[in-house]
Amino acid sequence: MITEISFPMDIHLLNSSYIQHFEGRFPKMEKVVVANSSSTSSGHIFVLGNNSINQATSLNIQEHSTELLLLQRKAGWYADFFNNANTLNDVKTVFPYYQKIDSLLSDKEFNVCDALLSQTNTKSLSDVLLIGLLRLTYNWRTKLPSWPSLLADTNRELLSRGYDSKRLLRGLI
Amino acid sequence: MRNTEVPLIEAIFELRWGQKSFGDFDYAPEEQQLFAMQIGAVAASKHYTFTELANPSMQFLLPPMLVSHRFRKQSNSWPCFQIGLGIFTVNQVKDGYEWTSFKNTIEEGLDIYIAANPQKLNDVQNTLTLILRYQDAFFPDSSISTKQFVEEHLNINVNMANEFFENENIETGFEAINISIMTNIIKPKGRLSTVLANAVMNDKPGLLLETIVETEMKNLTNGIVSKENILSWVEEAHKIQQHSFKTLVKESAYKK
Repeated sequence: MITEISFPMDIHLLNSSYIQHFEGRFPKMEKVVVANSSSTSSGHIFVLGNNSINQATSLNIQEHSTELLLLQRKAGWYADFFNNANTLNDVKTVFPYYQKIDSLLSDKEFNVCDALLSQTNTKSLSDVLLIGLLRLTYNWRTKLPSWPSLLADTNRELLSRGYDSKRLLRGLI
Repeated sequence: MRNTEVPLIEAIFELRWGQKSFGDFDYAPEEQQLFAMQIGAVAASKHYTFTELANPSMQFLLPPMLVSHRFRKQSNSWPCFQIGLGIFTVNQVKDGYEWTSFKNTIEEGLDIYIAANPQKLNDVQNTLTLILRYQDAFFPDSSISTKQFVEEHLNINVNMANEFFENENIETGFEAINISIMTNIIKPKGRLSTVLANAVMNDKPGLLLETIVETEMKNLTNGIVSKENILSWVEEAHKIQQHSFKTLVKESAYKK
């Protein structure tokens, strides 16, 4: 598993104790790689699992997580959603998934919806989904522990795409 | 030769290089982009013209040992080759797998690697690692627990004391497992890692058994890096893989 951690500071401020902090948090970690994005002042730490399952495979293999098991059981369409997320850019293509997510919320399947949010990679979302997913789930955010993290990730992703995140996320922040 | 009825999902040969010590990587400037382009160009000359990004979300940030590009003859076909910063792989899935054929594809992959940069193998020999990885997948019926499946169908003993589960606040049985056992190998000199883990494979939850034979090139006796040496290593590594599968997996795991 690869975990990407983004932080809003210049790379030269990163010191060894900061990296050691992450080494302590991720005991299975083999490598911590610090990569600087030249387009912003933020940096990224990639935490690579020790010879993790999906590093060399050409198939879609993900290590077990309770979130994925839950999505498999209760929202089997999640794979299609994630696989197509970067092309869902208009009402016609997005609406069926909005309906499914709305059904989860109406049925009070908050843990399933939260699992979906926790597994969302904002870099893979279309511009429409990037905002839409947050707006669709906004009213239920107190029931969705992953919502604040998704908001933070979305904010960073909007900035990296060159958008005015404050304007686009107005009402959500 | 592996029986094609077995639950193989993917066989992978890997070249990895550039890690001098834990967390310490060193790559030439042209590694970031140029070498991948060179690999792609040579692969295309051998009709592997279908190119795709292996990890699209990380296309602008290349961590080491993560594949970035994949080359196929056509969409969704195997074998395929993959390249990333410090990693080159040859991949074959179950459909179409046969040992001699896979070994020939590994040789083709090595030809591509050498043609892309004839000096490369020698330049990276001090940090070069060879890996042969087999991934087998099992999809137990939902009526059987992971623990039960492992006990009945695999020759791998995973247990915890009964007293552990006698606590009224701990539910009996395993929700999931993820274990890795490493052993040293004499021939080829290196390590064998056996990983047993619950995983979701092509959107299906199941149990993944991964066996990984790994050798650091600098530990090979003559220290000479050549395609022939590597292919000789591949043959020896495959024998270890055959032995692992034969001794760790019961036929009942995959035969009805």
